[in-house]
Amino acid sequence: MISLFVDTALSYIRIALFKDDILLDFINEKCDKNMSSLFDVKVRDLFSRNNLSLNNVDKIYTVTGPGSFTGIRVGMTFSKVLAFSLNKKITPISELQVLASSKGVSGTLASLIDARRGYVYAGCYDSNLNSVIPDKYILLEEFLNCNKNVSYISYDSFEHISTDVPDIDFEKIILKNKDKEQVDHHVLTPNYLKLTEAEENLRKKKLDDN
Amino acid sequence: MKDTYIFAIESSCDETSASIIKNGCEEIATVISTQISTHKEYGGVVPEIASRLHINNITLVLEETLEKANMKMEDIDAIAVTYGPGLIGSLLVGVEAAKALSMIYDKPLIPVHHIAGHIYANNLVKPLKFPLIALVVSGGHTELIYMKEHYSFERIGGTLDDAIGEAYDKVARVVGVPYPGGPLVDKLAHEGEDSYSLPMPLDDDSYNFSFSGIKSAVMNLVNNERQKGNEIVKENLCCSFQNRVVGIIVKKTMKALEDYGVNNLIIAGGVSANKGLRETFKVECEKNGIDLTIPEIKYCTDNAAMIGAAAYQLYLKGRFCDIDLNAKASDKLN
Repeated sequence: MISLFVDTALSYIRIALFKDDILLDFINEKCDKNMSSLFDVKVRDLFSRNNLSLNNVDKIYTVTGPGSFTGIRVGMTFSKVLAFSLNKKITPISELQVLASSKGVSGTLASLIDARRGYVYAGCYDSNLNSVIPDKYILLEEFLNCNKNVSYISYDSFEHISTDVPDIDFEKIILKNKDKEQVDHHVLTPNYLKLTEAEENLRKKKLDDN
Repeated sequence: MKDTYIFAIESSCDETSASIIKNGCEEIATVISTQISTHKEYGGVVPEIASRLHINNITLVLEETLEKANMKMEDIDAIAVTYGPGLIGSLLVGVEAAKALSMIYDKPLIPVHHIAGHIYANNLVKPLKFPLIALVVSGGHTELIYMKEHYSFERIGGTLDDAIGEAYDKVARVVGVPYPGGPLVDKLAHEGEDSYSLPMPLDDDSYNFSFSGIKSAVMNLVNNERQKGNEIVKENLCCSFQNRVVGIIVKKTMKALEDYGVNNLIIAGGVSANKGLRETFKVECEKNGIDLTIPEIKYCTDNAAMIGAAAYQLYLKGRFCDIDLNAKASDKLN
């Protein structure tokens, strides 16, 4: 069984191929710009060097967020269209769980993604990638006050805390999620964890009006 | 000759659309998922919300299009997509979907300029006859284009500031008409009289347009009347505004046709649905022996059928692209 893992939620193109849950090959490249332009080229490269075609994919794992709104949509659009074409479902995965898969760190991990203006996307995971504190969009200060005695993992740097740089363990992610419920490709939507600014403003306005 | 079927995707603004077009002129099936009701709450298109709705709807639109056509992706000869101009986040969803389909089914990928799409919506009415002048009028464009043959575009003039659709939307807001305001301003204009004194927009020998002056004039007029405690007669103001802008667009377009010795005129873009514009052009073209083509109302706004029609010409020329295609928020038509 061939499985494909897709993650474009942060400034990385991460694509991994598995055969019977064993990592076959992967691409994990920093990509600050042109995610859309490079992503499909990397997919083609990965499949081609493993003598596989997209039609060989039996199972699709996709990171649905949180992270860069535009970034998430690149990998997810691809995955949704692939799943639609192959008539498959998709296993959604959190980017915060992906970060928590990091090798060389132990104990409970708090994954952090800078969401600007003092906010972070954050979640805590134990060493088996079980969620301890659910993923949320929260003020960093508030999150730190509630979550002590954890190690922080992030690509971003923050004042007052030291963070480890993630070293993603693709196999660990797939093993953790292999039995997770899959979602119909039509129904699957990104997990931004945050409304758009316009939606927040409208919501505030409606509350004020009431 | 074997028939050519193109599967086209359009997502440049607030419509997620897919279509299958045969030989560049026959619509087999088109699906348009519009977001207007969502954006209406915000008084205009919110780009991030548009992008979010595109990804939520994309596979549903693809599936419905194939079902409607009773076809499989294997029956398709090429995948076409609007790569720009438009809202970058919205474009990216369509572009990524098209690239994925191109890779999965090993089909050539055709990048289509959004305005070329609007122009080729007319090819779904009847085959384009050359040379022609194309008037593109939409929320983002007001341009006069000379085409001596298929997929050859020479811009001979255009707006120096606001697009005609922008001016309509602004006037709609000022007179208190809800989004999307353009069609309602057009409707009100037909119920009113040209009673307000508004300046004629840029009326020179060029093929250029300027609508910022008349837009400001409408705003000032409304403010002044309100300060005096006078009620604005919306219908009359819309009629006065529409008469000025349609008047100058028709005048400059007819001048371009005469100067270039061209007898074929096509009108394209969202504002080509404007009743005032359609009616005036019909009368003027009939008077001057000009062969006028205007898309059906359903092809005036954004849709993938027009992208498939334009893509066919690129297909014939073998103008394909690789899967490193990127979306472009702005790009010249050439």
